[in-house]
Amino acid sequence: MNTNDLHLTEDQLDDHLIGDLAAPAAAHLAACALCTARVAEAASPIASFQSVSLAWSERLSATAPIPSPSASRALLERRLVWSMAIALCAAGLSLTGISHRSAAPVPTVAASTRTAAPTAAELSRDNQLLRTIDSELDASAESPAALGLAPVSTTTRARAANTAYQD
Amino acid sequence: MQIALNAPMTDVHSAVRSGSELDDIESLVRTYRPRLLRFVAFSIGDADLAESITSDCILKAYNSRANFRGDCSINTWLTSIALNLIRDQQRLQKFRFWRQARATAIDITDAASFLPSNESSPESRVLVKEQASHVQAALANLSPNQRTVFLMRFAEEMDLSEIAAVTKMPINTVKTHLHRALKSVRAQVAEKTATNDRSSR
Repeated sequence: MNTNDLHLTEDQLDDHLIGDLAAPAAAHLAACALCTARVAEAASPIASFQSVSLAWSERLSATAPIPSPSASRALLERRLVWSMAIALCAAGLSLTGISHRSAAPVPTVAASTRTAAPTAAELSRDNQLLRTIDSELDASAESPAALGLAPVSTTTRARAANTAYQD
Repeated sequence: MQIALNAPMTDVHSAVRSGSELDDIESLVRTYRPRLLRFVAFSIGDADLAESITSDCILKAYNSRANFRGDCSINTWLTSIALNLIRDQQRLQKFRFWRQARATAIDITDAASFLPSNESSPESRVLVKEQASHVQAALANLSPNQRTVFLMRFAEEMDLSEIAAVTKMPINTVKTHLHRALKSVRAQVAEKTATNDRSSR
């Protein structure tokens, strides 16, 4: 029996759809109505998918805006500017962090803003002011005597104890 | 007999085009966008994302048109750019789980009513619509490589050598993926058709 007389196997059918059918099988297919019908049946769903899916994408594409290359370039430039700005900020922050970590706490106050050492006259004026405040506080302080309270002495304490004992 | 792939797009496979076609972005969009969109959409299964990737792809091609050497068709060149963008997206997608939930489903069943009439009967339109949705469902169950080569061969009508060049796979690997993909799609379509036949009786 000639190999050309054998109908196509399922694998050969797939080979044909893929575009990789060997010559003898292709020769059989060209002459065999049954195998031609089988191939058509196998190819039908794929052809349906191809036409319907293309109709779908053509419908979507019909209303799609034309992408603008200038807009994309502008977008690219904007992205570039932003990324450079971010990189600069990051570099600045990292440098600040390094200087904070490595440097000893150095007084950064300018000489002009530094407070001058007090002079002797200022010191005596301040001391005088403090003494005045102290004396005023002493004068106005309410003493126990002013409030009618006698200071507690040992004799008073003994007298109070005897009275309590006699009771 | 070759399968009846009657895509209405005109002559996108004519071997090498003049570079001037790439200089006109409108013509680029008009001629190639639908096919690119289909390839991207059925590769990733998300219509919105596919539109965005397709636009990126066309812009990328337009901006780097000076690099097109003319050793393949523009369609093949665009498909290879689209494939790279899809792979980038798939790598990114692994870390973006929420995107899975937000994916915009592709509903091609409506599109069947927009098919060119070709004197087809309402019954045959229903059959076409049903077959297309069965293949679409079967595609979702293929591995990414199988889906890519299936779409390149049966939607984009690319040769095995072209597919091998674009996917950077050896030609035998392409054949293996294609055989597995085709076997799986045919089996799933046959099963769904049988189920529909049983339920319609």
